[in-house]
Amino acid sequence: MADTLARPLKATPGARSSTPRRVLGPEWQLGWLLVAPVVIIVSALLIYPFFDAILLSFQERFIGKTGTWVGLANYADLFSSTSSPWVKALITTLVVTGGAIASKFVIGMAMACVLNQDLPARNVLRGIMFLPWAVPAVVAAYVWRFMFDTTGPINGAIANFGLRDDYIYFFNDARLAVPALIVVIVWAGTPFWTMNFLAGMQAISQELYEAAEIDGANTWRRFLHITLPGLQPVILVTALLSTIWTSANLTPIFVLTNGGPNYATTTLPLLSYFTAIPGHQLGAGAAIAMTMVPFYLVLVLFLTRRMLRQE
Amino acid sequence: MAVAAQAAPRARGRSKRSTRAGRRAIGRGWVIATWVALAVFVLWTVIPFIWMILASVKTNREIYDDFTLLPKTLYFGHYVSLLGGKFGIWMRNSAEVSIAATALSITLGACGAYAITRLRFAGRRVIALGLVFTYLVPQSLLFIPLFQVVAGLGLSDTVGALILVYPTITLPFCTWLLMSYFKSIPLELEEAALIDGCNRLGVLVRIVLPLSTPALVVVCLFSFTQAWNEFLYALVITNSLATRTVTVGLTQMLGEDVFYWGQMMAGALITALPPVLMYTLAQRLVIKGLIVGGVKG
Repeated sequence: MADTLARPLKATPGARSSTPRRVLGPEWQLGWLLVAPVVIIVSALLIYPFFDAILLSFQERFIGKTGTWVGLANYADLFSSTSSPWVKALITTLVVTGGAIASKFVIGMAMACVLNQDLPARNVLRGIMFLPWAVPAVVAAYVWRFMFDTTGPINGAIANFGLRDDYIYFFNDARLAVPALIVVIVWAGTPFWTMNFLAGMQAISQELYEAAEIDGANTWRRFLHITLPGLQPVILVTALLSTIWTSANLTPIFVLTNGGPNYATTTLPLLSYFTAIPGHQLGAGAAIAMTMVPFYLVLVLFLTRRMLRQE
Repeated sequence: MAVAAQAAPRARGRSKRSTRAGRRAIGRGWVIATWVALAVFVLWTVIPFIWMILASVKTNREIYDDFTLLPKTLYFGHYVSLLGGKFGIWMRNSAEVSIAATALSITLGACGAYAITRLRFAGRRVIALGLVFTYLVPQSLLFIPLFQVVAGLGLSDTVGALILVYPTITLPFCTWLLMSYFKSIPLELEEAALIDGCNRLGVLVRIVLPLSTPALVVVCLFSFTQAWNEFLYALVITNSLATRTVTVGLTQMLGEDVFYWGQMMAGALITALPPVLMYTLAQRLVIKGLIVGGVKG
């Protein structure tokens, strides 16, 4: 990446050699001037807050008050017992993220395979399938909250066909709330996977399929031995991006269950929010957020390397 | 995106061939399976939207007592009462914040991307790396310290704070996407202009930006949609009715016990409309841009 990043122009105007030019590069003044706003915004509102959060996690600090240094006490509270809210939230985060990612992979792949066929009005169909991606997460969550409501179509169908005597209260029962939440996350998140898979499928050479066909490979084997291996890099990057976004996104949970029933759907980001903002304990909330950092750090470092290499 | 544009004619030829191969190779069972799956996927995608649209024009009686599938008449009472409340203010806040954040991201992003791709100066590699890195850092790690930063600047509970904060979501991606597009513009054009006496900024404004129109459209759409759809920062930073954006405003509409589903679905529909319309109008560009930005290759 290093050498292809900025190919220098041959006609560099006014090439006069002086010390800052040699150290900082021939066009450092204009270059720095142009990147300065980006660097300032990113530093002040992304990098500084990140390090501030680290410091904050070692303090006891309430909203509107100054903090006192408490060392590792915030972290000690989190790990105090195997049944602490943090442990429970960690498990919920893993279950929700794992369930959602696996479902998005399977459904996204099936959707991409279908949309890659020779269908009438294929572009219109693609446009429709990608709609959930454009909709705000809050809207998706409210629409689905209504879908699962006692006045919604799911309970309506159950009552109509006499399947059950009573309504199903999806968000009052932990065993139903978690799967229902995953359904909503999958509905909103699958189009991103489908889009990437479709793009990846276009890049697989058609000759491979023709050769496999001559060798007598059936449709399923061609998928297994050509499509899947061909998509492997796309699958990897999509899965990593989606894992970051799914695990970090508290919006659908906030709207659908608000973490309930009895904290069954409280993930780590939501626990961090509850602790810091409604609970006013900024330090303890920051500590919860910080426990997610090692996990994200591994994913982000890996992705950064891959995205720059593909560049 | 440049890659996609260059590959377009080839891809078209390929898809024609794949069609033929597909027809020859796929058995009857698979054809049926494809159509069944297609029907399931379309229903799965569309039913929530249809349910939302229908409910927004049903009367409360139809929603809560009769459970009718289709409304007998189109009832616009929910929309009327919605616009009589705070909803209009929230929409205006969202529009202001999204447009301002978009303008900021595209201007600063274009300048930064041009400098990183075309100018030689120390530090640009680190900056490029940092941009990808920061693009991937999730907001739930940052909202607590950002809440403090905003309070420290005396901007708590203002729309201005959101205009300041939203570029952190949009700017790294915008810069990144424009960088990959600028790289595809032939250097010869810029060299010719420089020899003719145009300066660097002139090259950027007169040559690079006009040639990058598709990428600029994508960047605009992305920034606007991201800012419009954003929820967490708006929830944390604003807390009075007059400064809410529409996504947070929606969550304030539910009553204590009774659900106002009709009004809620009307509000959800209006909220979803700007990003959905934009996306529909520029669908192809957006998908290409997304693929280049997120997963390349």
